[in-house]
Amino acid sequence: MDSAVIADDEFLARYVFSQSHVRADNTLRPDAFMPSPHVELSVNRHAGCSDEQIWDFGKDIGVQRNKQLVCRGDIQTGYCRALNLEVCHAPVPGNPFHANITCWPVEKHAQKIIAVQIAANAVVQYPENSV
Amino acid sequence: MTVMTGSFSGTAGFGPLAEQIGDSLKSLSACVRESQYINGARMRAEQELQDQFLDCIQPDWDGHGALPVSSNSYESARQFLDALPQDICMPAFSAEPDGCLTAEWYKKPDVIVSISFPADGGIEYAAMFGKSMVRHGREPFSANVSGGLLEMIRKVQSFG
Repeated sequence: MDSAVIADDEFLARYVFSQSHVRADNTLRPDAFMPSPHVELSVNRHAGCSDEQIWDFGKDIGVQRNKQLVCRGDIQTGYCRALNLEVCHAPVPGNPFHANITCWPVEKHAQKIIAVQIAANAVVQYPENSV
Repeated sequence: MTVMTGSFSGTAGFGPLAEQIGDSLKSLSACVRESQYINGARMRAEQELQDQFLDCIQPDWDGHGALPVSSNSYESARQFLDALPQDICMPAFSAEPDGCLTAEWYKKPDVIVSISFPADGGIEYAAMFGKSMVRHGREPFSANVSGGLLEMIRKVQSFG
């Protein structure tokens, strides 16, 4: 299997570092999935990673950004593709499991409705040591 | 400012006039309580909006290149709050990495209206009412909230 190919049933983790992107009922706001000002949305692949490794990558990113990791939203690749987005394997130094969600529309409101739909389908996970 | 905090439980007098006065006072008391509730919710929303603005006023507030929330976005969101009719619940505020403040009316993950306030004016909105019904667009905003947006927000509020 080519590890650069991301199957439709593979899950992707979107790390959340802003508490205001999490609602009181522990669901995620669409703001957590808005790509702009970038042209892609940064995520981490699940395939080939243990749950512990997925968390470790998120915590490492938190250290790089000087932000506390709040939680992660897990989304399925096929759902993103059904919304006319593409998911590309995009390894970065120290993280061979990094990927980007690309092909976002240019208009902000069109990005927002996609983010609303992704957020509605995201499965929120919390790190073990979170309160 | 005079603040009424008491309640009216009855009248000391007798007769139709006393009853009428008693009813009026009870009605006034209910209005005062409602007004205090609305003003309280409104003040909390304003505070949340201001907190979001201040939290995201610096460039790179997310550690990933986010643009700072501009004072234009903040003023636009504040004016929008001012323009909401009294039957509309206060939204929750957040910020997007492109520097827009957002207001959200939410019932459940697929029943939601989200509005962004870009620095260059106008508003961008996205709404979802179940998996199969979505609406989104951009519209100008000056002093009044459009009927279409209010209809969507009320739909979220009244959703089962």
